[in-house]
Amino acid sequence: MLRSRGRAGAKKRIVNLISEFFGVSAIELRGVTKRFGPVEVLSEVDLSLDAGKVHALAGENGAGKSTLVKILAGIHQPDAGEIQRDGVEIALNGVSDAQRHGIAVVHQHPALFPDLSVAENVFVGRQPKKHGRIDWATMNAGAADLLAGLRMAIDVRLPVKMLSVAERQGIEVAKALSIDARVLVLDEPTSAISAREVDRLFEIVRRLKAQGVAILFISHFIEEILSLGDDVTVLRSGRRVLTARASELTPEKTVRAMIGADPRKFFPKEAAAIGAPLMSVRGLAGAGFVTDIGFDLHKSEILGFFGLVGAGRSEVAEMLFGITPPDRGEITIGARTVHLHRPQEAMQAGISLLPEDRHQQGLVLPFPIRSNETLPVLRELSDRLGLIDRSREAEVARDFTDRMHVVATGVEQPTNTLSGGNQQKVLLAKWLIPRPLVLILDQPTRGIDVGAKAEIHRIVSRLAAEGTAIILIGDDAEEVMAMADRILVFRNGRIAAEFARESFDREAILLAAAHVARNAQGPA
Amino acid sequence: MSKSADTISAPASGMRSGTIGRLLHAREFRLAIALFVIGLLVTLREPRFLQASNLEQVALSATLVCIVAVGEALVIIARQVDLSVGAIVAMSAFVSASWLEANPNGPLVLVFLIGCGVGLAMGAGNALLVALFRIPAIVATLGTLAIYRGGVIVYAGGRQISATQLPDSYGHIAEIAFLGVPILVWLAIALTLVFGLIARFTQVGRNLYALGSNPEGARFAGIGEGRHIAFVFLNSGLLCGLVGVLWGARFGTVDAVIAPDLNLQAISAAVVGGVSIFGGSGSVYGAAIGAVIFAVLQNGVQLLGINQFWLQAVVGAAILVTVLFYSLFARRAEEAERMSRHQAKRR
Amino acid sequence: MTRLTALLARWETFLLLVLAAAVITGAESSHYFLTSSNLSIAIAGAMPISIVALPMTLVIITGEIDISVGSMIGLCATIIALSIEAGCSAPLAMAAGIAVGALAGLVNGAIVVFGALPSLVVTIGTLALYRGVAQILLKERGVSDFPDWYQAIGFGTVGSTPIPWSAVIFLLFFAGFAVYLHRTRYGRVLYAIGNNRTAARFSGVNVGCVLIGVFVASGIMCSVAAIVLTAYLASARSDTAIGLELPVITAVVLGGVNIFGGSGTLGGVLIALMVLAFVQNSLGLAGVTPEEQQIVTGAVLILTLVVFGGATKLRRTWRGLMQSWASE
Repeated sequence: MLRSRGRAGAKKRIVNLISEFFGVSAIELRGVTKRFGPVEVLSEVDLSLDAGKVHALAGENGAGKSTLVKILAGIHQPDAGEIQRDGVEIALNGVSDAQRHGIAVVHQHPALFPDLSVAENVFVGRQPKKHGRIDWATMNAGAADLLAGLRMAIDVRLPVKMLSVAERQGIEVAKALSIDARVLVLDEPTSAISAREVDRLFEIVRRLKAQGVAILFISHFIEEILSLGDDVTVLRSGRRVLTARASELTPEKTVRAMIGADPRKFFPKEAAAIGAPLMSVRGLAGAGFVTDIGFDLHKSEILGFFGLVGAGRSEVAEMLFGITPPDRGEITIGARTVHLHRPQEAMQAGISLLPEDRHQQGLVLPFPIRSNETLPVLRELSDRLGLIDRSREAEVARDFTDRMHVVATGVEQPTNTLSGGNQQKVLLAKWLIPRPLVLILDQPTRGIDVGAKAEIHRIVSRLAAEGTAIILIGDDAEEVMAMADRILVFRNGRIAAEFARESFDREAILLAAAHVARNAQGPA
Repeated sequence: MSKSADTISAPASGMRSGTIGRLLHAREFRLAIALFVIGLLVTLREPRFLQASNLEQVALSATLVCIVAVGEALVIIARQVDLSVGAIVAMSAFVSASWLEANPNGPLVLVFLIGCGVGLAMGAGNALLVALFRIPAIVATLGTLAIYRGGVIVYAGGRQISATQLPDSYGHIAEIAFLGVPILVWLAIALTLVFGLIARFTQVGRNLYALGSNPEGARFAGIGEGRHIAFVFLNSGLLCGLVGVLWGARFGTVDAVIAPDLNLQAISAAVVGGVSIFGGSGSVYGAAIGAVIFAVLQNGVQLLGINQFWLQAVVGAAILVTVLFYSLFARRAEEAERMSRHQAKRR
Repeated sequence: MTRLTALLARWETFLLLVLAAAVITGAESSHYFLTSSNLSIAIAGAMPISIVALPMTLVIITGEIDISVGSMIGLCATIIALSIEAGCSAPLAMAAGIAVGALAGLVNGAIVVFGALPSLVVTIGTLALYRGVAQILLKERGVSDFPDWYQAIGFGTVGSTPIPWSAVIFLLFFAGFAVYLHRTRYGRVLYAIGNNRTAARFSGVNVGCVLIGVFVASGIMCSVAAIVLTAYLASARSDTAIGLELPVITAVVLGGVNIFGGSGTLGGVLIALMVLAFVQNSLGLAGVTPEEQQIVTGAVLILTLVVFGGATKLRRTWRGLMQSWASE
């Protein structure tokens, strides 16, 4: 098995040499178009992936990046255009087709088998066999070999449910390597892992690149796009708007291509006089790694929480909302010390949390808009027996649905038939109806279109002007800087730095979130 | 286990390495210990438990449930459930016994073929509903349970077929022994081993685990859902068909209402044996040990002169204690292990 | 979509057609079917199952299941019988039965919630446990010294009308459950839990509390069913209502409740209960034994789901049909 891998490796190198000589790309997309119903999500996109090069793909959410990935993975088929491999047209009609052509995809959320061992996950569906029976020894050795190549020290017999997200992504990469991929597609691999793990991933990508693998790297972090990519392509609304060498691009130029206009225009923060202190948090710790979180929040203030995923921002939000009771710490609202052991208590204290995951944590998707919006306030809308005052319920829902400019046929429209942006507005309405003193927004504009984004920013800004204290969690530095009065930067479960609006400095903020950890403190 | 994998595996993780360590860690091993302890407790109070004739009775009573539980375990591992097993056993038992009654000189092999054929056909019914018509297994087999059980009741028309109406050679099946152990017990052991090997060493077996663990992921990995679901139901039906034939041989009399709660017994044996009801984990060995544990409990209740009416309560308590034990201790231990692993990595 | 089409597009409307078909076939096959005394008997016989179907609907809507209902009825029947034997007055015995039912439901709910265990497994365990306790208490005996008025709960009718008392009890509970499920915030929360447990928790719902509540409701209603059933049978044994969970779950699923939780109405369940009761009654009139009738019960369940390619697909087809009909 191992020997055959070596032989295939040699073959790959020869093919690459030939391809390079004739100037043929490993995989080339020409005029690829994809429609879902009437909506054209990809329009005549060209993209070429060359052996030994990293092609970075940037674009806002909804720009068509994930559709492109799914076409390469064989999950979707294009409606027009062609896909060429080494200059020959191919059809990718299924996952196995893509695998046969040497295309491996590492998905954003690894779809692994939690109960199966690491080794089996690497080889699932095509476990090595000897005399017709599965050869566990070879499989374990093969997986260990691949992981050792990736410098990952994991017992290959562990069930995958014991692994962290970063380790799971490593398993996906190992899986890609096990099919001897000539083309590796990495779909936002850095969005859920820590800075240190990002460094290691990049090291692996560079090594694969040196071995002649063609890589498509997708990220929404501009820095990563420019530092890792050899070539960069930017998609906007399903169209390719820019392809250039990374060395010729600047972050500003890339961002402008992504959003098509001056970025500032989308964040209309209204000036608001910051009021009296409202909430204070001291020595908050919990969720296994969050320690010593302390800050004050004032009326009319927008406090930004910036940090990479896994830095502890969302964990703090969940502690403040009583989802994960903290181990230690004191929270006071007004002059009252509150103990938040469950969401009900947080809601009574005047806190609303717009959670990070709209589908899992936010909405009951089959419910009509009305029922979703009134779920937290049903107690107020019903009498002592629990009978819901249906006309008042509908009235409240209609009022807030209108205020949020939700585009729908009415409040009885099922939430799962709305677009992402409108769902997010419903979710925002749901958490504004209780009239919170403190509104925590965990990535409120994630995965929604630019128009809806601007509208949500306007609403948030107005709420602050009206006196609501707001915590805005985001991983887009531009957005948090544009909206916040003050920014707390999180790293490894602590507050790493604090910036006031006058001294916002994008580089300093990003550095505080990621890079200082390695130099100044060593491994945390 | 190859050497290279050992050297790179995370060292200070609480996970034991090496074959013996893994054996000690395996849930089947802990179950076997539980079984041993129960046996020991019974023996201390009543030494007759260890008499060969008694042990033979225990083994025999575990046999039939064990075979059904093995089939059920594979169904559950694939994230399905088969509630119709008892009805299939009854149908197979009655059809084969009445054929034998009509053809006392017919070859026994044919009886087995008929019984297995009946089971396979009924399993095919379940497979059709779940794999093709996409009806949730719990609802589909609830319906077929009623249909199959009603069917055998209509077919039997209240009749009972007893040993005296059947050829002696049939009843002898239960009495043949090999190395002093009844051949039925050997059969159960052999089937458990065969399906244990299938589950661990064949592509189909591994696909069942993958499917139960993450159905969507399995689709992405090109594992055909329908085929595998059909396989587990057909297989469960086939094993129930076989058990139906053995049922008559073992108990002497067959009527339409035998094995009324075999479905619950089989599911309980699998669950107590460590098969997750949500699919993806557990083993047929565990399910088999689960079946034996219930047989020992039953025998113990009898031997200790405890009132027979206590049996069902003891069985229920055993199920609850096991799953609660898993929930309160095993899951917590797993969580602790995961935390320690991650902390070891952070350092 | 207009109000009318929305109404027509419902699963319940389709079930009403099935019900009409069942009644017409019943009347065709036996002239005795539509007599008031026969309908009275048919309804009285279906009441224990119907009473338990009410809480089962709630349990299944939250995405859980309660397999132990038959055993809880057996246990409550045993407690009632023993209390009466011990010289308690019938009302006191009934209260004892209800208390034990609530306790049994509480145990189910507590194990499911605090053990974080699948309710299918837990209630399989308590199915054996509760039945076992009933057997320990009552052994093989049957108890039948109930006062006359007690037996009237199962068999008697209201005054000179053909309406059985048990049906009155059922309808009162049905009204209560229907208002609870479809008009109160508690009912809304059940659907929220069944569709998305995490989102419910993030909305301030105490999921554990609610789940324990529905299991307790299941236990209490099982004790009510035990009263009606022992009165109807005029005896209580430890094996009372064995296997009752199957027809109950069948009725709930046939009523359009998603077995994985999150959707379904009590109106649908009510019609499904009537369909099953009338089908079984007309089969009984045709001389089919109760054991044989279960073939038909199973077949009705499977066929309804299969013929139209699964419940959801059927609902969609039916809705589409009605919409296209309305748009013409």
